[in-house]
Amino acid sequence: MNQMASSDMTGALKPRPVVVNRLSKSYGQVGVIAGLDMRVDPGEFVSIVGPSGVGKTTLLRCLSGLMPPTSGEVTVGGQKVTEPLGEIGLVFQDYRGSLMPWMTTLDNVAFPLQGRGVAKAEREKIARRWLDDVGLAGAAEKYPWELSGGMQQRVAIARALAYDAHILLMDEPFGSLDAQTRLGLEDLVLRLRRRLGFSVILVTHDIDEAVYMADRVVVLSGKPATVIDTVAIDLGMERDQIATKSDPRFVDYRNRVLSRFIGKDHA
Amino acid sequence: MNARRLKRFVALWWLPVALVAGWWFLSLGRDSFYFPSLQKILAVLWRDLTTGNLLAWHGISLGNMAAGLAIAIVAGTLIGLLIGEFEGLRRAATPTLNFLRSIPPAAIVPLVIVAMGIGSAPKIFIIALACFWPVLLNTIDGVRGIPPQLRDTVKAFRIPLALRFRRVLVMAALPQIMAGIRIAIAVALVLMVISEFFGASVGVGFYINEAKQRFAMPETWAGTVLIGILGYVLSALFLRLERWLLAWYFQDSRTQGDEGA
Amino acid sequence: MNAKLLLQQGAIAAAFVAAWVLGDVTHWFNPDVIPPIGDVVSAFATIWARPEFLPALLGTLGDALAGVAIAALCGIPLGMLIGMFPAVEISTRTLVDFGRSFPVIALMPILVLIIGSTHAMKITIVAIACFFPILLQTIYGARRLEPTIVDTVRAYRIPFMLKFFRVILPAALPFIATGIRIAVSVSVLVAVGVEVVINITGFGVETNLARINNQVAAAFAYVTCAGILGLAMTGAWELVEARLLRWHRRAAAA
Repeated sequence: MNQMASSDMTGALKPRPVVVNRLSKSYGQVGVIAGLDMRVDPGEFVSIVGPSGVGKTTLLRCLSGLMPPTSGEVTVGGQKVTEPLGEIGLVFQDYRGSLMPWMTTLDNVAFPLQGRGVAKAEREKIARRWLDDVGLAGAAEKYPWELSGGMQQRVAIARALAYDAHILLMDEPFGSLDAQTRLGLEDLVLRLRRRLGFSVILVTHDIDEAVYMADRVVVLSGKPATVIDTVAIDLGMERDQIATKSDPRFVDYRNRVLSRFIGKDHA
Repeated sequence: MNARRLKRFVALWWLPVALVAGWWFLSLGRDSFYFPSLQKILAVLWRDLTTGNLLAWHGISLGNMAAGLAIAIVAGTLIGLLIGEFEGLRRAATPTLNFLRSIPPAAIVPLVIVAMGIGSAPKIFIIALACFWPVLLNTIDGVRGIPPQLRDTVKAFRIPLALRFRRVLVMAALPQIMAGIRIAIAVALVLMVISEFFGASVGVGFYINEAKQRFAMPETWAGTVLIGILGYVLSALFLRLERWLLAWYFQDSRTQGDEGA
Repeated sequence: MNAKLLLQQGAIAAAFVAAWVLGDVTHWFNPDVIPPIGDVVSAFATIWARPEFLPALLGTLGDALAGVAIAALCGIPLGMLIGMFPAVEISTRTLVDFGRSFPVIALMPILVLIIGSTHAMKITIVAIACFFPILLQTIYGARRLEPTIVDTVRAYRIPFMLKFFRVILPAALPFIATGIRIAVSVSVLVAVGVEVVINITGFGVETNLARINNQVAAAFAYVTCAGILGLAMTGAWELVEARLLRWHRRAAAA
């Protein structure tokens, strides 16, 4: 799959749809996910919420091709996912674990491109451009440990986008950050998405975040996990931390998701 | 030098300096056969360094060490990276490796010297053979200890094999590899000394042994002191190198508080 | 045990053996230097019966153990002391660095001249060599307390002795155990090293004697025995360590 066309020039990416068909994953006898069906349309933003330990990360790893499912399948544009595809970009919760501490920020962002065989001058140009886009223009020569958590996560996002990802998979990406930084990064991702048109699958346990960012919220629960609800979020493409979150429809959506978890007495 | 660095310098050195000074003054003028005064020892050392062969022999001993270490490091790192990265290979090789590495290199020394003579080659061979193991084992540990998130990242971005080895595995394992090299340096020093005890006509170890045969106490002490200084200097230099090479590792707050370990 | 794994492990060992046989058959190895593996194996089988085998085994084993014991007796208390008090740690750091990088074998000529070639001298050298790993690991263990634990202990104003026995020592135990493990594996190496240079009873001596008598295969066999001894000792300690730490972990969890 040739993804070398710069997303900048085409204006908007054309991501392929992601379809999950009766996905199940067990570790030995222990079932983590059972018969899960899901769909992400081109350019859609889907949040996956659920309590800690329900299997959200496992699901994401199956979606990304890092882990094969026990049964069922994940397809992207009809193509079965058995290993990571070139159009998928991953952003992890633990940015420290995923950025290479011995490389500068620039090298980190350019590294996947180096893996693709892009020449040095070209890939550094692309990397710099994306660092600018995420607001880290001056940080190219710095090392990850010189940056704050929020900045490091921006680097991770820049890296996924420089890689020309059409589908962004994010595993609780803002969980390790303080509230303020988190909000800033939420808006950054939304902004970039409006401009470029990539699909996003965001895994989070923060219900507010899930509703705020998504077009659709998938609620996971149970042991083994299944989809217990899907909430379509009709709040438009333009979101604002204050205006949107005061909108009564936001509150409704949020309460609907929340009610799935509150009132359950067992863990 | 500002006040804090001065204070730290004093804290680090007051005790050794006091002990050496104590030795000096307590032994001054009180030479016994077995315990010559520190003054005498240092005088003899100076004499042999400046007029005798000792300085040249230094070079030979260190050169052998360096050559043996270089071979061990290259071989140990390369093979260690491979074994560490491929879990199946590692598990299959573990019993054989464990067995081979517990063979005391010192016991092999006479065999090798007899076979290869008393020149530099047998010493380089022994040092390389013995130093290979700490480097190999630490490299394997280093590769295995790479955080899973890093591996996931590399896999998710489909980094090709050669690039993965070069820019990720080696670097991520480097702290542990350096720890292995540090051990290897200590091992090299020991074996250099033993191999020179056994079969040599030059070298620092030879100097000590030869002095011992002659019952020349001051010279024997002098050589031993020299080796001690040599060991310390090499170790200190290596630590410097390690800090420079692994600046990114030591700066990472995750590993702060581990220094000096 | 996984049969496939055993097979793979056997394959690697077999490859090693095959390389040896190859070197021998092609005469790339000088048979006086590296004997055919068949000879070594048969030598290995026969040396057990020799009268000098048991004394050699006990010589190496006994002196190695004595060395470790002495090293532990000195190293653990000292290490705890240094680890607990930063002022002590920084004052002794240079000395410890000096000692740990000193090749203990180099002390042999002096000690031989002063003490003579005796068991005591050999044990002394083994003890010195084993002292530093134990010391260093103990220091590390005594130092390394989680800041939140330190703060909790201070907030509750726990008296020193109680703090020492219930907090510091248990936290340091895994590291002390590691230090002893390293020391055990070093002890055999050093003991044999001393035996090779100075003729004090042990496997090293037998290796030398065998070589002098042109019984190279026997020499190899003795070296192998020394290796096995080292493995056995380390393995034995790991068993002890597992039991010790399991009790300690259970107590810590209780």
